[in-house]
Parts: sequence; structure tokens; C-alpha cells
Amino acid sequence: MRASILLSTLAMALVAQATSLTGLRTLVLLDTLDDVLIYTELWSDLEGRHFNLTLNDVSTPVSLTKYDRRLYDHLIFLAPNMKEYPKGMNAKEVIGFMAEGGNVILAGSSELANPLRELSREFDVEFDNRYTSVLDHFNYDKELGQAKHDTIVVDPSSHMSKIDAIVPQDKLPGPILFRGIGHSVNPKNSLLTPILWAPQEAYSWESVNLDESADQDPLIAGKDISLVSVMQARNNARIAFLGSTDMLSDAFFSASPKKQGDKETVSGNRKFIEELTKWTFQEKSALDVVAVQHHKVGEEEAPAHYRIKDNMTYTISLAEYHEGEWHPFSADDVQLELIMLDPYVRKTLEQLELNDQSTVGTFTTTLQLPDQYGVFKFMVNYKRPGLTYIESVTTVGIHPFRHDQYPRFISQAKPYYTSAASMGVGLLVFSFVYLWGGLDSTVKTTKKA
Amino acid sequence: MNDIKTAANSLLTAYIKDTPKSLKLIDSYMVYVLLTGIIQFVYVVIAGTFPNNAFLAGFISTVASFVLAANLRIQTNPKNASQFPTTSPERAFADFLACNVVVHFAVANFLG
Amino acid sequence: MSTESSSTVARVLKPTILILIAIVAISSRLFSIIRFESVIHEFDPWFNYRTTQHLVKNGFYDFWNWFDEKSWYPLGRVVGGTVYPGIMVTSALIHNVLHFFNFPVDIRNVCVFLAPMFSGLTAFSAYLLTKELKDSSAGLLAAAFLGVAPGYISRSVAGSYDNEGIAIFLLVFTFYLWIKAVKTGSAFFGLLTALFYFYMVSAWGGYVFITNLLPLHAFTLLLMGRYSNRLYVSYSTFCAVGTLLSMQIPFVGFQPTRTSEHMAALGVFGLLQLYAFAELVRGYIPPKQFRALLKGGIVAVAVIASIGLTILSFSGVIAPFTGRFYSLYDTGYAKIHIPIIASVSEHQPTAWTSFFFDLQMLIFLFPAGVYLCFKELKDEHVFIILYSVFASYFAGVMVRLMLTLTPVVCVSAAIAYSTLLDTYLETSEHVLASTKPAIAAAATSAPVVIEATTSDSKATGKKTAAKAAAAAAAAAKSADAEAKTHAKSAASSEKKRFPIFNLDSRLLVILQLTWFLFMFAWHCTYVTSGSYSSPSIVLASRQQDGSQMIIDDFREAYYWLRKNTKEDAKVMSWWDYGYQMAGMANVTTLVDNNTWNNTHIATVGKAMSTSEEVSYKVLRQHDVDYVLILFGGVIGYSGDDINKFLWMIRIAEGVYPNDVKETNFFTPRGEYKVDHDATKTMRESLMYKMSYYRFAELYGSGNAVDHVRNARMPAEGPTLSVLEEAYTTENWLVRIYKVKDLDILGRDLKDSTAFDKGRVRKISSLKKK
Repeated sequence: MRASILLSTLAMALVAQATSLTGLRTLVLLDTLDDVLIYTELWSDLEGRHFNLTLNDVSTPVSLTKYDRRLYDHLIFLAPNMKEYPKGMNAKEVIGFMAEGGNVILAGSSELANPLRELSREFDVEFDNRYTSVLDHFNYDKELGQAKHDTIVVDPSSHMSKIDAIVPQDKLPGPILFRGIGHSVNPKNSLLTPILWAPQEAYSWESVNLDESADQDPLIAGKDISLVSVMQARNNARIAFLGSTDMLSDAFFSASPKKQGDKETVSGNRKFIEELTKWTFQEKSALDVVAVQHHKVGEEEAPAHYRIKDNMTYTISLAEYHEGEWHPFSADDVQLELIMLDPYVRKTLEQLELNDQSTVGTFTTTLQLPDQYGVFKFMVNYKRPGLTYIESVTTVGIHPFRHDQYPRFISQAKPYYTSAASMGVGLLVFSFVYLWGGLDSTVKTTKKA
Repeated sequence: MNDIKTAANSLLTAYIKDTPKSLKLIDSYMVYVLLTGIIQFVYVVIAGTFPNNAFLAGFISTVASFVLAANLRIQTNPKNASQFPTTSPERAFADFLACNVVVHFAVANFLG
Repeated sequence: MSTESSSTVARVLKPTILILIAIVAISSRLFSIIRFESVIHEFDPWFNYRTTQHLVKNGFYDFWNWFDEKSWYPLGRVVGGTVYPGIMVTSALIHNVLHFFNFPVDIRNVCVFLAPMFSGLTAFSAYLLTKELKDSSAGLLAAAFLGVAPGYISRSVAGSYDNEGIAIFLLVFTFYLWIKAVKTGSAFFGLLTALFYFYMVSAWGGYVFITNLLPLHAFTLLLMGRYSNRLYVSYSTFCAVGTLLSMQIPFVGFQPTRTSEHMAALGVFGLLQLYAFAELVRGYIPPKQFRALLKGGIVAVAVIASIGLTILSFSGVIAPFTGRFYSLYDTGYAKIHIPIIASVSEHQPTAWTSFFFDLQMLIFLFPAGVYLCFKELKDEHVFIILYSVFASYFAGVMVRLMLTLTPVVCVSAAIAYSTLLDTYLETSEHVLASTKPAIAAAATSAPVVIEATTSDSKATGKKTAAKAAAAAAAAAKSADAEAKTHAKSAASSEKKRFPIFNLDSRLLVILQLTWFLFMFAWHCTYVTSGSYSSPSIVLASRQQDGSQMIIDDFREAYYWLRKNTKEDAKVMSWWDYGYQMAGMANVTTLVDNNTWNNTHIATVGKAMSTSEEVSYKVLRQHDVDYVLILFGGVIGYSGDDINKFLWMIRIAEGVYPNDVKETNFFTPRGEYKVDHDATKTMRESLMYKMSYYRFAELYGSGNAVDHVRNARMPAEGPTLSVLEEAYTTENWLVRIYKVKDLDILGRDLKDSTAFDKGRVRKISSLKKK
């Protein structure tokens, strides 16, 4: 999945429009093929972005991988009633598909059956019981939700995450319409992010009879109800969980949501789904490490190993993919760590100035290596919400001083040098005098060679 | 105390009288080496042992030179000739030189 | 036989005998080469071999500064400064010389055959040493004994490329040079002693033995009143030059001036200087005055010395005895304070049976030889006595030090044996002639006579030699102690001087002694073949039908690692296998036999003995890719990791007492069990899981039996979630596991493994609130 410079230029050459980094083969699972007519606008949007759609119903056997290679690049579940996976697919396959880099959109509804519920549980996403809906007696849409108060109008400015990398809130023309099942996400899982959640007055309950009152506490209520969540797995495959298949329908795309007492607005669903699918299908907010260089100050090539207290320069180039092209990535918080079991150095990289021809954002720093020798990891660990996880590790050894890299003559040792030299001189003088000094008879003065 | 004084005096006179010139030469060489060693030792007590290898090299070069000179003295002293039947004075001097060569090589290596 | 021809015969016979001894010594060390192949044995030699390869490939300069990134990951090891380079430099030199003459001998073969070659040289050195003590016939016996003695063979078989291989040769040769120096008083021999001492320092950590034995000898001679100028010359040269040279080795560094183990040498050196000076002064002035000066001098020196020594010791300039040497004095010390030293099997105290096993008849001839040295009691015999006493003590404390005892045992036994043979082999005539007139003089100079009469040319001019010797003996009466001891033994030696005429009594003894020699040679060969020729990297066992089964699992596993892992794969195992893995599998290891960093070893111990969750963190932190363990339960190999497990726990507990507690691994009744009774901590530890993973499946329903611990294993084996099995060898001896990456969905590895096996999470997490 990591594209090199070559692949990115190839991608650029292929297509000028928004196009996915993972690929274009999309499998859509529907309850019945009649449902195709519900989402025509969605299909035209996707095909406009060059996706190859394969529309199947759940009774058609299909397999996601063959001989350990993906047959599709993206998977959309629009079949909440699915009681069994199609032949050839199961939960393990779906997760294996994601492990191979495939992206998934999973949309449910109040009729959400077990297979998808259990699949979502592996992601720490817990849908509420079957036949429950998200109900809100204050924020329902006057037109579509009059009867059961189950079609709710959600205001993006206060009920949406502020992560612009996923769905930029200011681009939405209006509120979001939602009719379906709520779910909760495990707050401890750092890979999961709720995108859209219910208003404070909402609650999740069986939508059987409006006259009956709830006799227990609902399992989830208020802001705890997540309507749309996403997860970016550790291998950067993305999955989006939506509680409502209707959110993607033509009806909701073209509706004009109007809350009780408010004026009419334009539905923001189409734009929301467009941005969400762009993110999930790796058409935007995808980063790549283009190059990593490190060398001693004053040199060009990376050495086989460093020496303690060397001065070195580290450079990393990052590019961001959106609108079908790779652009330079800009940030001010990219950090470099020097780790040997524990970090010894942590420094923020400076970005070099961009000009018109830059295709990558270059971050660099110069530092002095610590006084400790060993095998170090130069790690750039950059994980920001919505962006691809960057974990670039370069392992380099730092060696101690060689025996001749110490200062050759130490001034403090002058007395010793002089003494050693004087010993040698004294020896020579003494030998000469002894041998040829003509001393008395106890020494036979025969010449020595 | 007086005993010691008289003893020292008689030692000195006996020494000056009895010792052959060559042995006196060796003795003066040994005194020179000894002084150099003492100076170094005083220096290290004052200035600390950094760099240790240079100190050891310098100091041991004096010690070794002293000892080798003492060897030479003993072996060439006519009083001791009976104890060294196989060692002629030439041999003693050759040994002296050989040992010194080795010592100075080692010192040169150790100094840096 | 006429004088000339017999001396010629002797002159030809001696080198021939020596060469034959060398051939025997070399051949008896070749068992494992013939049985298996030319391969480096055991553990430590693999590191020496790898270092030698590096030296040959990259040259001396690179070797001197080598920083090994592939061991002790991620700390690395400064090999240049932590190794005794003697053996590697020797092999590299031999290799380069051979290649210079266009003999393309592979470095592996040079290393494998180095120890046997040097054993031949060691036998020769023993000959030289004993010749100085008694005569050349005793020398030949000593050479023969040392050539085949199992105590020495155990560390010098072909393939055992360890420091002791050349160190023992250097030890014996250095002692020979020292004896020669003391006897002749030549500074040249003192210099040679210092040079070979330097070579020894570069070769083995046991050089400290020489460093302390020679000063002890000098000191003892001083105490015996045997100060002589020869002693001064030889010892001063040795000490000054030797200490300077020994500090050139980076590993030794400044230790000779810092540690207590070296202080004796310097102390005696100083003492000797003072004594020599006193002697010199005494030559110049009358005794009374001398005594006055002496008293003043002694007082001054004593005061200065004691003050200086106390200051230096308390200020820490002189370090106290390090743990390794202190444990020689207090054997219980290591078990409590330094479990790593105690856990090495070679450091255990010696059982007395191993004395017989390693030395056979020499062990009872040895005290006889020492006694004979007492009778002679020249300077060199004092040395042998001291050497034997201290070597015996150390050999009793540590099995490994049997090696230093063997040379002196061979020498003394040879002296005793040779004396026996002399007494019973002497032809009668000359003895009769010299008995009567020479008894009085011979009583005080018996050793001189024996020396003269049983010298190199055995049957030549005994009469004249005896008379000349008697005259020389009277003139050579040197020190008091000699005369006293000989006056005492005069009576007994008078008795011994009675000739033994009868052929049958002589034959009886001679034949018996010859038979002993045969038995000795047979025993040595048997022991060598049976016990000391195992390469321990290849095992051989007999199957029930008598055929031999070769167990080559170690090399199988290492080769798998070499071929199937990436270049810089990091493998964690217990430190025993570190050197072998680095040498054969060419992987990066976390800990190895050098055991210099106890914390790092304790971390590995912690990873092995804690549960999967805790140890996974340690594995990730150290970037471990594979874990390797030994498991002997299938074939009954008792040196496996479960048997070593207690040591791992102890060492880990020393550094991480909160994570690892030894008592948790024992049942309530205090037993160490691995079957149904195993404690929870034991069953959850990573080592247990790795050892018994899928073990129960081998035998089908509930019949799994661990053949080492003789325990019936539960039918359901352990499960692993943070590791997956990568490779298990044919006899299940070596098992390699791969460390799993973090789950891509952020799940616990336990959950993701369960999911992969088909278990689906059915419980709603919402309801858990």
C-alpha cells in the first residue's frame, strides 16, 4: 500500500480526478437488487469518481480474496437485514480483507441482524438491539419523521467531530438527516473516532408505539449515541460505520430538513456522504513517506553507523494525497525520536520552505547524537486523527570511540610524555657512557653491535 | 638516633671507597630515574590521575628502568659473580638493552 | 654401552619420544572429529570463532575496535574492549601464515585444530619444566601424562576452541620460564617470562593465578631466608615488565593497579626492592650499624605502607575482590548475591570422584611427588609445592579449575614415578661404589647426587660424576633450611640408598609400574572417548536395537533461522544459546553467554516467566521477532529450558521483584511441578506455554508424558495468543516462535486469536455498563 515516488507519479498520470489510492473495484452488498433504485444518486456520485461498482444481493455467492489477493478494493454493506453472509464470505474474511488493505463502509438500520452486529463488535463498535431506533422528540424532521419521530435532523456545527481531515464541517450546506439505529464506541480504543452523534435529547429505543412510554433506561442516550463512526486500522485500512442506510438514499440526499419551528434548510447528506466516502476510500487524507535521509553534517551519504556525539542531519519528506494528486504535506508538529528502549532525544522537525515545484513537504533537523552507544531507532511516529499513520523507523548503530579517535596528546599529560622521553634519552646516554666511557676493569669494554 | 647517624656516615664512606666506577655510573643513572619517578608521583597526587594511562606509562617506565638498571648492577657486580655463573657482564648488558627495548615499546604504546 | 653411543642414543630418543607424545596428545583429541565432523563445540567457542572470522575478514584494526551490533540488542557490545584477544589473534596469525604459503586452510579448521596442536606444545612445556625440577626422564613422563590427562583434554579437544586451549600451554611454559629465570638469575629469562605472561594475559582470565603465584613464591623464599640476587633479578624484571605489558590489553586495562587480585604482586615487588636495598647496604657497613639503620628503615617503611594502604583501600582506589574471585573464598556467596555465577554448572564445587575421573593414578602419585619436592627443597621445588597446594584448594572449590590443577599433578606425579623407576632401574655397581664414602656427604646433598647420577645420559661415567658431585655438593651448601631438612632426612635417605639387587623384586615393581602406565593410558582414552568428546551441538544416542541415532536438532533450528528470517531478525532466548545462535544462525540476539549485563538478562527472564500480556510488552519494547526455547520432554533431554526455568525466575526476581516471585511457581507443598498440579503462575508463564504448546496433541487423548520430569501432562495443552509457532525441530528439541504484530483493529491479541479460531464476541458491551 505504501506508494513510492514512482507509483505516485504513475497514479498522477493515470487520472486527474479524485481517485482512490487503494483501487477502484467496489463491491456493494444489498438486501435485494430492487434496492439499487433507492441509491441512484450515490451510484452516479461514485461512478463519477471512477469506481467500478459491482452490485450484489446477499444471496449471490461472492469472495473477497482469491489466492491471498484482494478481488475487490472496497466493500459497502447496504444490507442491514442480512441474516447470513453470502456464500464465500464471513466475518473472518472481511477482517482479512481489511488486513490486506481493503476499505469498508458498513451501513445499518433498525433491522440490523446478527452477522453485521457481531462483525462490528470486533471493532469495539456496539450497535443497539435489533428493532431499536434513535428517537428524538425535539429534533425530528417535520416531513419525514412526523409519525415516529425517528428521522432526526442533526446540526453539524455542534454534533460533528471537528476533524477536517475526515469530513470538513464547514463544507456542508445544511444539517444531516438520519433514520436508523444508534451505536456506541469504546472510548478506550484510540483507533475509533465518532464522527456524528445524536443531539442531547435523543435516545435509542424500540420504535414500536409512540404512545407507550419507556419503562427502563435506554441503553444509550443523548450524545453517547454515535450515528456515524470511523476507524483507521493500524495498517491504514479504513472503515466507516453508519447507523442509517437511508442517509445514503436519494430521498435524503434531496430532502429539505425542517425541524419543528425552524426554517427549511438544504440537506447536507450528499456532501457528507461524499466526503465520508472520499476519506474511507483513501481518496484524501492519505500521507506517504516519500524519502528518509540521514547523514553526518558535511556529508551526503548515509554512513553505515554513527559515532557517539556525532552531528547529524535527518530529513524526511511527506506527501499528502487529495484530489487525485500528491501534494506537499505541511505541518509544524512532526517530531523525530531517537529510541533505544527509551527515547533519548525528541526533537520537532522544521519544515523547509515550499515553492511552486515542490511535490513533497520536507522536514529536517540537525542534532548531536547522545553520549550513549548502542543500536538506536530514528523514529518519526506521526499519528493524527483522520490522517494515515506514519511510523518511519530507521535503525542505525551508534558506536563508541575507536581507540584512535581520542585526543592524541593531552596537555595535562605533558609531564608523563617528558618523563617517558627522558627515560629513553637517559637510557641512550647511559648506554653510551657505560660502553665507551672507559670505566674501570670490572667491565670488559668490548663493543656491542 | 646517633647510631643511625654514625651508621649512615660509615655507609657513605664505605660506598665512596668500595664501589667501582661503573657501578657508580649505574647508581647515578638509577638516582636520576628515581627522581623522575618521584616527580611524576607528586604530580599525580596534586593533579589527579587523568589521563590514567599516560601516568601509568610514565611512572612504570621509570620503575622498569630503575629495576633493569638494578639488575645490571647486580649482575655486573664482581662480588656477585659466583651467583651468576652463566651470565657474563656482556650478557648482562645485552639483557638490559633487550628488556629496555621491550619496555619502551610498551610505554610508547600505552602513552597514547 | 659406551658413553658416546648411549648419549647419542639418548639424544635421538628424546626428541622422538617427545614427538610421539605430541602425536598421541593430538590424536586422542580427535574423537569427535572422526565420529561427527569438524565443527566448533559447545557455546563459548562459537563466540571466539565468530570473532576470529571477523578478525580474519576485516583485519586487526577493525577487530580492535569492533562494536558488535548483533548481540545484546539493543545495547550492543564493545567486543574490542571486553574480550581476551589471544586465541583469536593466534588463529588469525596461523591462518594468514598458511595462506601466505598458499595452503588454503579454512579458518574453521584452523580454529577446530588449534587446541590439539597446542596440547602438543603443552606436553613439551611440561617436559621442560620437569627437566628443571628433576631430570629429563621425569620430564618425558610429565609430558606423557599431561598429553593424555583427561583433566586437560576436557578443555582442549578438537573443536573446543576456547581460551583454555592455549592458556594452559602458556601457563606451563610461563612457569618453566620463571623457574629457569629463578635458577639462572638471568634477566633475559625474566623478560621472556614477562612476554609469555603478557601472551597469557591476552588469552585467559585465569592469568590472575600466575599474577599471584609468582609473588607468593618470591615471598615464601624470602620468608625461608632464601633471598638471593637471582630472585631479585628475575622477579623484578617479571613484575615491572609484565605489569606494564599486561595493561596493554584493553579488557585488563588498569586492573593491575586497582584490584585486590593484583595487589600481591606489587606488594611483593616493593618488599623485594627494600630487601635488596637492605642487602646492598649490609655489604658496606659493619653489622651493628647495619642493624640500627635497618630498624629505622623498617619502622619508616611500615608506617608509610600501612597508612598508604589503608587510605587507598578505604577511598576505593583499590577495589575489593570482585564477586567471581570472592566466591572462590566463600562458596556460598555467589548463590545468594550473584545467581548468574552460581547457575553455571562449571562453577559448582568439585565432587571427589571427578578427581579420580580426571587424573586416575596421578592423583595418588601427586602427594608423593610433592613430598619428594620437600626433600629436595630447592627454590624451584618450593614453587611446585606452593602451586600444588593452592591449585588443590581451588580445584576443590570449582570444577572448572581442575584444569589448572592438572599440570602440577602431572609434574609431581612424574617426579614421584620417575624416582620410583630410578630406584628400581639402577644398575647395582655404581650404587655400591658411591654408597660408603659418599654417604656422609650424600646425606646432606642427596638430591644433588641423584640429579647427577640420573642425568640425561643415564649410564655414563657415574663414578666420576658422583665424586665431582660430592665435591660440588659440599661447596654448594648454601642456606640453613636446606641443610636442616637434609640432616633430618639423612637417616631415612641412608636407608633408601640401599641398593636393590634382586632381579625378581625389581621386575615385580617395574612390571607393576608399567602395568599402571598401561591402565592410565587406557583410562584416559576411555574417558576422552566417552565423556569429553561430545560436541554438545550434535547428540548421539543408542536406540533400543543398538543403532546409533544422531540428534542434530540444534543445527536444524539454527539453519532454519538463518535461511528463513530477515537479515536483522532479533531472536530472544536464554543466554546459554546466545553465542551459538549468533554464530550459526547469524541473527541478532538479546543476551548471550557473556552475561555482562544482569538487568538485560533479568528482563529476558521476566519475559519468559510472566504471563503473555506482561511479556508481550517486553517483547515489543525490545523489537523481538522470534523466541527460541529448548524442550527435552519428547526425547528426554534434561538440559532444556524448563529445567533451567528456576534460574530464570531467580535472576528475574533479583531485578523485578514485583513482577516475578519464585514462590508462586511452587505448589503449596513446595514442589516444582509441571503437570496437573502446576500452579497458575506456572501454567500462565510464557515458558510453560511455549514448551508444552501442542505437546498433548503428539500423544493423543491424555497420554502426553514429559520424559524429563516424568510427568503426565493434562490432556488440554496451553494456548498461545501473542506468539505463533514458527518451527519445531524433528525431535521437538528446539522450538521457535514468532512474535505477533499488534492487532490491526486494536484488539487484545488474546481476543483476536480467539476470533481467528472462530469464537465470536456475543456479549454486548453495552450491557456491561
